[in-house]
Amino acid sequence: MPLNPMLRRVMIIGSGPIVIGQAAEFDYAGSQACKALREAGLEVILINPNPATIMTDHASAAKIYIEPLTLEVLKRIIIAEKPDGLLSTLGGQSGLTLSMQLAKEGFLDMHHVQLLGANCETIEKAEDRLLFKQAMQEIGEPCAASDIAENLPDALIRAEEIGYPVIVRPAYTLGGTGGGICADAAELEAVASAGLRLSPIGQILIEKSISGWKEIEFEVIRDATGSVAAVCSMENIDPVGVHTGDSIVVAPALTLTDNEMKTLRDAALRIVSALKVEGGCNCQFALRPDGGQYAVIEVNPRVSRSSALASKATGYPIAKTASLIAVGYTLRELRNSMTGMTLEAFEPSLDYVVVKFPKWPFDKFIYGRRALGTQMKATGEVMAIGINLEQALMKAVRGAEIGVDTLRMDKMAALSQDDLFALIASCTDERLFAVYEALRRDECCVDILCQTTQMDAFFINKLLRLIRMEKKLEACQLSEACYREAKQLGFPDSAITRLTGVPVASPRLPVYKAVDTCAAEFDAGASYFYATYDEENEAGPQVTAEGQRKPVVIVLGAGPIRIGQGIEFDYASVHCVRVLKKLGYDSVMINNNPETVSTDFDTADRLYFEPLTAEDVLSVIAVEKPMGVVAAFGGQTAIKLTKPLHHAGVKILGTSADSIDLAEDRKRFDSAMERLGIKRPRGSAVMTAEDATKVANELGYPVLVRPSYVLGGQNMIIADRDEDIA
Amino acid sequence: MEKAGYLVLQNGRVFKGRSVGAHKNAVSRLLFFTGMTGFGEVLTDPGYKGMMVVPSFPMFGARMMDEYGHPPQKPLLSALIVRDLQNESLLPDGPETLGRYLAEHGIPCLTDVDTRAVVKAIRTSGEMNAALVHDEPNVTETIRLLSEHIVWPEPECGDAVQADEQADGPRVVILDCGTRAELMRDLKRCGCKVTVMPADASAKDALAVHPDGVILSGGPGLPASCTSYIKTAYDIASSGVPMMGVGLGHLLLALAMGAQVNEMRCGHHGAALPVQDLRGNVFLTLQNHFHAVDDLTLPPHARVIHKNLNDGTCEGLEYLHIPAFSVQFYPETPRSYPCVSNVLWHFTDLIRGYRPCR
Repeated sequence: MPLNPMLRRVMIIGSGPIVIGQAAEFDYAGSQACKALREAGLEVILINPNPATIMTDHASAAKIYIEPLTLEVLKRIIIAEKPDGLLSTLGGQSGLTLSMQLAKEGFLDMHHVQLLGANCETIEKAEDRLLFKQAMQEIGEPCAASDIAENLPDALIRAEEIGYPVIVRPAYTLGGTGGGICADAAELEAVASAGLRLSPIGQILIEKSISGWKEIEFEVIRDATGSVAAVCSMENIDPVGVHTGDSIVVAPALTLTDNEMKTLRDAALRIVSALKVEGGCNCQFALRPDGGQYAVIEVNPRVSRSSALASKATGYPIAKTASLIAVGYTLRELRNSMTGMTLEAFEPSLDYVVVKFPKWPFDKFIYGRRALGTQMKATGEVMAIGINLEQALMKAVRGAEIGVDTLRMDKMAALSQDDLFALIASCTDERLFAVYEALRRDECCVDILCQTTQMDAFFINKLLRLIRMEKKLEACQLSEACYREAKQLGFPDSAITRLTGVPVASPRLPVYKAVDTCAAEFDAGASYFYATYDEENEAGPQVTAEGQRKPVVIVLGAGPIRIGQGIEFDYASVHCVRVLKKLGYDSVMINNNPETVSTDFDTADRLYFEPLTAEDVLSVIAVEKPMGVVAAFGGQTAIKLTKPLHHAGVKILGTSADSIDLAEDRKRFDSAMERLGIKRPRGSAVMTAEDATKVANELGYPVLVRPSYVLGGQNMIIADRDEDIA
Repeated sequence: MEKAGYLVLQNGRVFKGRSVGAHKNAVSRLLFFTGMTGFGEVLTDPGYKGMMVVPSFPMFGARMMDEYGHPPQKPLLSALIVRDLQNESLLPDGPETLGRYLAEHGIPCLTDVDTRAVVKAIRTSGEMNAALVHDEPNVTETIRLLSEHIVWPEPECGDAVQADEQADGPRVVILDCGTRAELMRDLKRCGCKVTVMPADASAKDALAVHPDGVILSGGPGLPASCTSYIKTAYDIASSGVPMMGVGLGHLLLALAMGAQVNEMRCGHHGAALPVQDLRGNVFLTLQNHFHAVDDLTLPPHARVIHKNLNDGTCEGLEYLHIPAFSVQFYPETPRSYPCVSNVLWHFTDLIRGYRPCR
């Protein structure tokens, strides 16, 4: 079926401000949707109160309302704009909930507005815990034993029946808000009362805890004629019990047998068929580690953080396809925008491995509880692509900007045996590094680590392979074969130098392979690349062909979203790319944040999905040979790279590396102010704690301690006495 | 001890890798497999007999157990070319790794090969022959060797399996050219009483058990040279017994009915190839074939019912004058769901429609 002829004006609800659990991915989805619908000839009316988004650019939609996302406001806009359709599935949880409320009240019918994407029944079945359970029972899909409660006494009775430990999941909330695992009645009382309060309909689900099982997700797409495709499978390295937003995730799922994979894929397809989803849908499963049993955890009939990740991991534009399906198109009518010759009715084939690593705010909230559970704590994430899990994991970790370039964290090395084991036993953001340290000390066998962490032995064995490589590097004279192996496993030159104790004599440049949805089966001409160490480079020839015409400019992205560095840098870098394209430059984007518009494969002329470290960026530069690099729009992440890039002879466009240093380096900044005679609080740059105390005493307490090159006041403190400074 | 190995393609490309399986050379046709799971089956599926396989997914060898938790049985391919061979145990607590398993079964394997580049070479030049050698190759000499005729593997006629006479349901005979074991399983799930006969059984033998339906299975082999099987297909089809062809069986039935079969430039070998049922939906299929029916040569009473969405090749035929149809892909029906391929159900319906009153 082609475009629904009843539609001329379609309204899209954006996701509003960034909160934990709802970040840039909805801007990515919304921007894709606006673009796709515009190209389909529809007039788009958008409402989103977040000004830092690309979707609220005036070019995105015919009319844009920067207004609060409330029923009242939406109604007023619908009355004024008279849209023919309302697309419910792109604005995250709030968009979905609001759309459903409008539909249920009969407001949409009254104003002749069609609900597009997911209809009322689908949303209810997926979101209402009880209806969902019934729907699953009807098609024979197993769920964990559960029951709903609408008040506290009820919750306690239900939990008693089901048996502790139980998980509390409030209905219609986001990112697991208000939920948690409860081991006993006392814990339940606390969690359930919060959950009941936070659920907009005052309903919670009490569910038998199946924490410890493997958590597997499928992104599925379905059209109105019933064609379905499982776009991507994803596996959480952390077991069920840790929110998927806080989990390290790999794609495709790696530890499943063929039969387990088929069983879950079939289940996902059956579920979206039964729910009659029209568009994208996320299905989460728990799989018992021996594979003997599975349970459906939940289903989100909308685009999500996972669908953004799946899109970037496969090259399949889920949000775009979902929007076009919502307005009437079918999968077999839509062309695969990557290959241009095949259709969207397919399942991408990957010839690489993807790792997603969360970015947690614990560096800002140093007293925050680091324990991870059913409530998401990460503010952002990075994604990395490699030809094996080791390479991708190493890239992800060094791209996450947590001060490490391998899995070895100095902090862990200093821990006593007991402290280390305590860290392994509790799930925190640092557990992976603790496991690595335990393996490195050779004091703990794989089996025990599997039992304690409930991670699959497959993953622990991969860590072991990295440790063996580390030890080999420490022991050997760096041979060509040894160096090559280390690079294959993702070790950067900085780590190799540190481990061998000698600088790498002849650094090897990576080659770039394309992400093309089809594992090279078709000539996609894709311009979306990742680095690996192999024979054939795919990015080079393309550069020569295109580079003859246009000078190349590289734009550095901002990496993961964190407090102080949000979606606004994505906005700026996307605009930089657009202007460069308009001015006739060949634009190249380097970034590693899968949630963003900047990492959409058709934003820049070429996209390199790589960590933003000096080595990784310089390698891209070696292939692209740009006339210059723009660092001004990538936040502190890009700013930090200006020094090494400048040092390597790369031209920084716009504000020079030296000027940036002048502004960022406290000492140089101070002297510049001094010279210009501009008044400011007296201060002095110091490098050691002793100097700091001395200066503080000269200035007189209280003093403000500001580190150089940081963001949003990271580690900035007000000190009242000597002890505070140390 | 590990040593270097080389992959020489008929088009002259040479790739270097590390030899981890049996230390012997291999010469055969080279193909790429685009599935991301099902590696155990790639090793053991008779459809890959005698072929050199390059999986496009780089991490090959994790979780090879079948649905009963067994490690792969006897591998039938001629050689394996991978990006990063996993050194996991084949069974959760077994000592055997994939490398050792391949060595024991005499299958050479190269790892650390730029497999994406190999896939691109096949895509560009078409499927071709290749050699896996352990000494620095003389490329000209090897190419000459590769251009010489390389024999296609014969169909792999399986052993006869008697039907469980206690079972209920229509009696289906599978004429086995080298089918995947799952066909038996899936037919039983569809409520059939299944008898397996090797494909070299005659039409008379097959009809002697009074089948309600006959399936000509998939398997390896060059379709046009399977003349006796084509004759069998013709005789059974003429008898009026409902019939279904799968994979090679689909091609043999088409040949028997007078259509032509062409070798494809690049065959289909993957786990999720999109097929459109021209009467309805799109679904994703498991495929492994080098040849396809030329739909311009179809006899008047044959009709294309399935088509590959990527390249438009014929993936299924229906015959209007006899109760028969055939599919090129594997008719997988693990636990049926409404919207996907219902090929086996379609076959049982066909049988029911024609089942003589007994």
